[in-house]
Amino acid sequence: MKFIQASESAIQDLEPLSPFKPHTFAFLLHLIQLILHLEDNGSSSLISPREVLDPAETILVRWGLTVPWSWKIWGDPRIANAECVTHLVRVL
Amino acid sequence: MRTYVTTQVPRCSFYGHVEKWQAVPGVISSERASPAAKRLALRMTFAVYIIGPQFSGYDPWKDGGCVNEIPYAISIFSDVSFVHRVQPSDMMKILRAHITQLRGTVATPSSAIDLSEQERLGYAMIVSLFAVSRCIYNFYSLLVQ
Repeated sequence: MKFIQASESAIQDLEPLSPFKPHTFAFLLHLIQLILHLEDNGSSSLISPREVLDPAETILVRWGLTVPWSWKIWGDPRIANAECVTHLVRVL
Repeated sequence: MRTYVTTQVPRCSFYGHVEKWQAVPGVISSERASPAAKRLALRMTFAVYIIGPQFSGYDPWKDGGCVNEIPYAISIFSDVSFVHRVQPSDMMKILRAHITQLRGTVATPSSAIDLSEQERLGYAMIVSLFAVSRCIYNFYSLLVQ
């Protein structure tokens, strides 16, 4: 699909790779954490994938470009809470 | 669905031109819109900008992308011609404003269990819309270069 193909190249983001991110990104990451229920500090295992997605998780994982984009933005482990994007693929 | 939208959205905003559907995303961050109208606007925006393109392959960011043919996926919303003038940068501006409004009210991760399903859905849509707008924005910038 054209839309997706176009966006794939756009994921090669224009931003410089920096450990410092604007407030907006920090807040978006916070929202992702809330959606994924990561309150238990990562004790939910990456090894045992979830069988069922609830609607909010489905939106994150299946619709739009959130997964590749979030890896691009938060792929740097130095960013606080960046490990929660790893949990996004746990449910793929 | 259509009746519901038309009763909710115009009443709670003084946009004046809200009958034009491209004004709907702006309601998300409007100071004057009711929470119900904002939720509704967010869901409609998500439907048009995320779900719509994947269903029917139209490009909602293109100017007048679907004036002539209203894709089935969104024709349920409207018999008004659907003219999009919202650019990716506009969408990010709207979402940033909305995020600023949200910042005070959002829970900490430790109280995430108390979140309602509706709130989580809304958050997921915000993240999803922002990611797509950002990618499209980058793509347009690449074209210009």
